[in-house]
Amino acid sequence: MSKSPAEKGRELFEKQDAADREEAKKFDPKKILERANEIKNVNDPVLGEVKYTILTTGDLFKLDKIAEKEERARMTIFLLLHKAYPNLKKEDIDDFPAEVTTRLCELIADPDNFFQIPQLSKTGSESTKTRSSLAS
Amino acid sequence: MVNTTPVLGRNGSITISGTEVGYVKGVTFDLEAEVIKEYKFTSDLPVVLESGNKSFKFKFEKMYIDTTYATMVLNGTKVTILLGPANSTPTGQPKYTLTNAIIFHHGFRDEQDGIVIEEGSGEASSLTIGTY
Repeated sequence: MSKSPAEKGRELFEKQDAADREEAKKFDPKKILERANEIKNVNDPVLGEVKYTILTTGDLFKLDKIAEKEERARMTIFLLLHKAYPNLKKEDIDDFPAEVTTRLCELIADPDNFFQIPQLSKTGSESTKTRSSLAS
Repeated sequence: MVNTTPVLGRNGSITISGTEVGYVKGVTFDLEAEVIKEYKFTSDLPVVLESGNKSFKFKFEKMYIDTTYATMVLNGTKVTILLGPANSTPTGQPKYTLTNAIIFHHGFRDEQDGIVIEEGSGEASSLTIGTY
């Protein structure tokens, strides 16, 4: 018995979704590098749409070498914004109105804004195994 | 206690004059109603505040249309979209029906036996909320 159009469509989409999920599970350095340069944005009620890119490992190494708290904050803001705003210089951060810099620091301090770390889905992906269970 | 299990799916079937012609996934509604508001002198409160002309827009992630009906849908033939419950026991569950819907803002690709429209949108003449 032939399938109805709705059944055909549902099966087609389920098959495509399953293939997409499998593709997403594969570790692909090229895609990861593309993601590092992808311009993202945070919609803030005070500052409006703030464009940024995620911090790279190299950025973290740079920040780690900075001992002074203020310089580290200035550098963090610059590293987050400079790919999205190519004309921005690090010195420009000092000329930002204080409330803008303060607000950016508040946004940076909230992990939901710039530093979203993908979590494993409780319903979809397999749970991360603990060190002890991997060893056993 | 809040029931956290969604009873309404965002997927559904598409029909033309009662004949099933396809399937749609990820439907979201974007309903609008104009506001009719009138003021009079000596008062800053509206004397008339009514809901006016309505539109029933919607968006969807993917839509599959059987080859036989693809041209009709792409050319603007009106369809009915029926969104059913997410679970398999429909009795008493909500049923959303978008009537006289036209599909626009779409690109499409060929699949075996049909076409797939991705990230499309459309507008219907009415939305009825009922139950199975």
